[in-house]
Amino acid sequence: MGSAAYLPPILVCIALSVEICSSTAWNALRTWFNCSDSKREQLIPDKSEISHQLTRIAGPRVVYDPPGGRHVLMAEGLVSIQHPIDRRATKPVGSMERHTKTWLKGSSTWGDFVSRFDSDTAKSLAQLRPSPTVARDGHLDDIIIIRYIKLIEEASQKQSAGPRVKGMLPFLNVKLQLGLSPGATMPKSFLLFDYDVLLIPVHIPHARHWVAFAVLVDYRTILGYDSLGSIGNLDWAMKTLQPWLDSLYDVESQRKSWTVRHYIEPTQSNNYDCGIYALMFMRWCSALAPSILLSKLEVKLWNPLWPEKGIRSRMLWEFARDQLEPRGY
Amino acid sequence: MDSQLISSSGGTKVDELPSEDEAEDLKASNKLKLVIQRTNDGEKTEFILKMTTPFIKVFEAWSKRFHVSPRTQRFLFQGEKVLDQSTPKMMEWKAGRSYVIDNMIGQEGG
Repeated sequence: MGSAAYLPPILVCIALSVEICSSTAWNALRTWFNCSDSKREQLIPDKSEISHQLTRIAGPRVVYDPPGGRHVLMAEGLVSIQHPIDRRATKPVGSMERHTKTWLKGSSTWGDFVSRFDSDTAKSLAQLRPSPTVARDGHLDDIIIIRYIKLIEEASQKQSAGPRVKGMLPFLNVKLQLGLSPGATMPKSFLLFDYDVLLIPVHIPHARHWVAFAVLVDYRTILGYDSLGSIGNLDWAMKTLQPWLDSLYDVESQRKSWTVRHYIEPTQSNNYDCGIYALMFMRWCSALAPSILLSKLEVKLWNPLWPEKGIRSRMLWEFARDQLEPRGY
Repeated sequence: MDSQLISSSGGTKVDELPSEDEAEDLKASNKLKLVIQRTNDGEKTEFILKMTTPFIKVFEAWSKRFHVSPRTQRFLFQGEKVLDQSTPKMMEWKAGRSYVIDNMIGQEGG
C-alpha cells in the first residue's frame, strides 16, 4: 500500500482544521487563552449579562434602569445624565465589518479609503489602523481627537433628550499652562450654561499621553480619566483647568464647591491606546455610548485575527460615514 | 502674488483692526490682513492676502520663516482648526479687516 492511501485522511484533517480556524468558536477560544483570569470571567456568558457587566464597570458608575429603558450615568450618586437606550445596540453591523475589512486588506484599498479625506487627516488616520507596527506606532494625534469629539458633539445635537455636549480643543490646556487666555482655542461666543457636558481632552507633553476630562456643568462636577492610572497627570491638568472653569461661573455659583472624581481604570496594557481610551471615556460621559462598556474596552480594541471587529476599525467606519455608529458592543 | 508677508513683530502688540487708511486700501483691493500669533513666545506675523487665497499658502510661508514643518503646526481661529484648503471667503471674512490666528504645535500621544 503506497503513501497515496494516507492522503484522503490527511486532506480531511486539513479541511477540518481550516473549518475550525475560521469559526467563531476558534475566535472565542483564542480570546479565552490570550487573556487574564479576570477577563475570562467577563467572557463567561451570563443570563443577566447586562447587570453582570455593569457591576464590573470601573470609572463613573453606570446603573441600568430597565423600567425606564434608560442607562443612567451616575457619578457617585450625585449626577445623572439620561438618554433613551438604542434598542438596536446589540450586534455589530455586518456592512461595517465588510467595509473595514476591505479597507484594511492592503495598501491600495487603504489608499481608496483615505482618498476621501484631506492629506493631513489621511496621515493621521494611518495611526488609527489596528495592529500598530514599527512604522505606525498607533499614537493618535490632535487631528483625530478633534474630529472624533466633533462627531460626539453632532450626535448629541441629534438627540433631543440627550445632554448638550461641547468639546474643547486639546490646545486649551496648553494656553492655560502658559498663563494665557484661551484665545483662539475657544469659540467667539461661548456661554457655559448652553451646555450640560464639556469634554476637555488634555495632552500630557512630557509623557506623550492623552487624558480626558468631562465637566458636568450644572453639578459643578469634574470627571477625569487617565488610562495609565496616573492621578499625577490628572492633578497637573486640574491645576489650570479648575480655576479657568471656575471663572466661567457666576459669583453665586462660585460659592458652591466642586466635586472632582478621578478615574484610573480601566488601564491600558500597551503604550499606544491612550487616545482611544480617552475618546471612549468622553463619548461615554456624553451618554452616547450606552453599549460600549469601559471595562470591556481592552478586549475590544483590536483582534489580531479579525482586525475589522475592533474599536479602531469601528472608528475608521465612523470617520468614513461622518457619524457615530450607535450599534454594536 | 496671493499673499504677502508684511511684518513680523517679536511679541509686540499688533492692533486687532488696521488703521482707517490701511483698511480703505485693503478694502479697495479686496484684501485683508491676517496675523498669525505663535503661542509659545507671542510673536506675531502679519500677512496681506486676497479673499480667495487658500490658507495653506500662508501657513507654508509662515512655517518656512520659522523653519518648521507645516505638518506639525496647527492654526486655530475661534475654537476651530483652520483647514489648509479653506479661504477667507469660505470663512466669511470681510475685506479690509484684520484677523488673528493662533499657531499651536500638533500633539500626539499614546
